Amino acid sequence: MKNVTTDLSERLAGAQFDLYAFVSVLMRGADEVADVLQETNMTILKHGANYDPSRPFLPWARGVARNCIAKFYSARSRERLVFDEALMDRIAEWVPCVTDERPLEDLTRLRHCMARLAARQRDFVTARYIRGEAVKDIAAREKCSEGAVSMMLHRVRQLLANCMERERARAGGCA
Amino acid sequence: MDKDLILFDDLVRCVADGSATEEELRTLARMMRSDPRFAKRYALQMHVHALLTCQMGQEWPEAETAVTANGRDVWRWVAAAAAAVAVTALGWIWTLGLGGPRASRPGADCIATVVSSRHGQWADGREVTAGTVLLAGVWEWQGGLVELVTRDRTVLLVEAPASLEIVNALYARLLSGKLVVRMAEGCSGFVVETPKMTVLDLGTEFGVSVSPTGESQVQVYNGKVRAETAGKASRRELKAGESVRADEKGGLVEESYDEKRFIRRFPPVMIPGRPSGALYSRSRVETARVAYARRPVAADGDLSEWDRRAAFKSACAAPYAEAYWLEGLMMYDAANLYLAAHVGDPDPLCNAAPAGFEFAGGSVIVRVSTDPALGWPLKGTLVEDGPGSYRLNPLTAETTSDGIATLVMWHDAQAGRARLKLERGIDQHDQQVDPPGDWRGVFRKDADGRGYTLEYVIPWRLLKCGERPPRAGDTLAALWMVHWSDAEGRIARGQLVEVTNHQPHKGETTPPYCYFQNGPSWGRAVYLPEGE
Repeated sequence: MKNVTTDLSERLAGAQFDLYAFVSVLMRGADEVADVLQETNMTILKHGANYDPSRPFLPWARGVARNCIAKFYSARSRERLVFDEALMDRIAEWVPCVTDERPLEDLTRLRHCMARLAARQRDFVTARYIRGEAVKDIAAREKCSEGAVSMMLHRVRQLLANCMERERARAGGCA
Repeated sequence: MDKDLILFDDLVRCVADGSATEEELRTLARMMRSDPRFAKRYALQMHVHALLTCQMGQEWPEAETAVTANGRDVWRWVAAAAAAVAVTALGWIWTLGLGGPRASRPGADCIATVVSSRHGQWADGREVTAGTVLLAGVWEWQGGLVELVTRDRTVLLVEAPASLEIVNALYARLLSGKLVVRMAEGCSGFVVETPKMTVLDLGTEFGVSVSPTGESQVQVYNGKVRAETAGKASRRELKAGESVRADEKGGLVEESYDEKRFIRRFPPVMIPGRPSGALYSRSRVETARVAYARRPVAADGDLSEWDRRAAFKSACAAPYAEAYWLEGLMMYDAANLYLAAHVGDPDPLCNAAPAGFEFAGGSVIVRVSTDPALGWPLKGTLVEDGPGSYRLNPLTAETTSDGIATLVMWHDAQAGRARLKLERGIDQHDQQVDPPGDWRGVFRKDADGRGYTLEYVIPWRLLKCGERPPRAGDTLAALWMVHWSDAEGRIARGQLVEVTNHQPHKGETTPPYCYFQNGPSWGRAVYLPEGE
């Protein structure tokens, strides 16, 4: 640990948001995601010497996270394994990238896209994701079925995903 | 494709809702394997789901504000949202200073700041003062309770004596002493490494202790942690109310939960009328004279049968000399070692320190060599000489000799009686609390409540030298230490180290409170002939 520099820990701090999103896409279960994220952080701090500072940090950190996911499943019963290794690699390729310089860029995009939602759509997202309400509670309040709420949320996520894709394309991607 | 797309989206919806069955997941996987566009669709939708999940508890911007927000406002909102990632697992974002104004961010090298100190005392005896900035490196305290706050708002409560290496804002090594880690609400990610295990914070408050012999223990107060022994031989997740220690074999042994094992909150009030500042001593005595006991000695707290002319006296540095002092006495005969002390202590006999740290709640420790073959000065050491750098040396025969004993004597306030902890060798092996055998001890509080007397009878057999106990004319190594605590008997208030080697010796640059780990620093005990 002697060679762990403040620079590395600050890069890692900046990468947390992206690593969380990346790991979340490939795994299910908040606890599993948290465990792998912690393991990823530890691995990066312990083996920081393996990182070549002349290369982008975030892709390297994602690679470490990817290995930690593999290790996580290899060390446990595979009953929680959602996708096999090859499929995870395929999905991982499509997780939107961000740059070292602007690691929180996707949050900015999300905000802009949220602002374009209809009021009712935003209300559903706010209830589910900001206030953390259960789908059945939202359904009871809105006097509709749980399926309808779930579907509404799904559509909103699609809208946001499409919107963010357009914004990424306009920005020219990560290159 | 349309029909498949509807099915696929429905499956993704179930995954996001957390309601997907195994069969549905298999179907989803099959579809993504067969068509890469599905994999992309899944990645993008779940990515949005992950981003939204991070927003829990955040203030949601109004649509109008969002549209018209200038770059600065956007950045502020994004920073707040980023900080919310910590809700799930993280405590890292604040390291970047995104959660607050950049102007208020400390220098890049500043990792933590002292915000409070109660009797805090650095290794060199200086008083710990609030506002002191700590950089990466090893920091040592010989007394007191010190509260640090890292730059990502993690509170570290250090209970001295303690040695802590701060690696970065989220990683520290506890080399000795006790540490409570409390992260900001919703945050996690702090790592504490000890000689025998590593503790990963998973969103919680927990305490870690490393005894003077390196025994490591963790106890969880809130949330959970993951503890793993060196080399990852054992690994366990602990939740609130659980405690484990690392054993010699690399395992994790369950320990009973003890709420008072660690100090979790900083005592807010100083006791009026008491001086503040560092409490420590400079050794004045090199030789303790051990008189022959011509009459039987009763362990009754009455020192009338003791010849006080052989006593040595010492006191803490000004302004504490009048209240914190020691008069030490040693006697012997063919069967026993007799120890007595009169100690000035404004908070006498209140020791409530947890197991493993009994000394810190107020105690007298006498360390003796009983083996003439070891000679004086002692050669064994656990420390390397050199300013600021001492680490475990390879154990030598002298270091592990059973001919060296440590006797920790304290009055257990809860049990209301004298206790004894026996350790062997400079490496303090074979520790026993209240060892079986015919030892006796008693404490008596002074009439004015400003001190106490202790009197112990220790059979030589207990020290494994019954066949050849020290004799008249022997010069053997010895070291005395006194620890004082606060009025609650929990916070180490300061200490006195006495009967030390004043001549230049190997390891003399180590701080006095580490002398016990360095044989050459011990002073002399000269066993006097009968009648002298």
